Amino acid sequence: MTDRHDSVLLHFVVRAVMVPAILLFGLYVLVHGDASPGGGFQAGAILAGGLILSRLSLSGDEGRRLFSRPRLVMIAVLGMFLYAGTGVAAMLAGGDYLDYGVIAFESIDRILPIGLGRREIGIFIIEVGVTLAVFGTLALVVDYLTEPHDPEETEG
Amino acid sequence: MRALGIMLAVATTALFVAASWDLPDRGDPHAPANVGVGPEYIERTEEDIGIENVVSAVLADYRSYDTLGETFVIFTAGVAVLFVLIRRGRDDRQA
Repeated sequence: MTDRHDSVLLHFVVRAVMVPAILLFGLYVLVHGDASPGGGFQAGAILAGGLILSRLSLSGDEGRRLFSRPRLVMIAVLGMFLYAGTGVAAMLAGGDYLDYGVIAFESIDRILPIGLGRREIGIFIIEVGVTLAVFGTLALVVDYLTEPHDPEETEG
Repeated sequence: MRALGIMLAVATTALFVAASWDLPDRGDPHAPANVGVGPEYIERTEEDIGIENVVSAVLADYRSYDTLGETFVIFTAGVAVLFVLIRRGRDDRQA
């Protein structure tokens, strides 16, 4: 279904310029979500866009092996688990569901002193969860749309 | 039927245009949208949450239930699409 080209120029532009730039921009949008427009949903969509672009244009299947369908499902579920789990962690720490202020994130700050407040770390963790969930879901849907047959199934 | 549709479209447009004259001005401090919890969020985000971005604070902290639900909606929609696509792949092979 997808047309893969063997053009050297296309390989160079996509693999060495566009995909790294898009992935880096996605991470930037995620990390700077607390100070500038952006956040989990946008970052997940941008990261998935980078993966989809590499899959649509490159003939190699390293990306396909690194982000196989089971792994994408795991990434999406892990994202949801990270978000909901942060809420449960807040409850275990004695607060309300998703009330990050009561979780002792200072232990993280001791290992990696970045000088963030409790709520800031909590927000970042759930944003990472949203990013993983959106990335996994989008990439999975596009994966199935561009190649309806499961490679493992057709090979066997 | 076509004339009825056009009339309905014109009437709805007229209704919305008439209603739009009563909308508050952009940035009006006394507009209903600006007298509720909005100013509270803007004033308290810095000390409550400790981040500069009020939008992120509302999205990910004050209203994080909402965002959790949204993420679940996306995830569930994606899983539903997957089931449809997996089914379609099987049908293609049988045909």
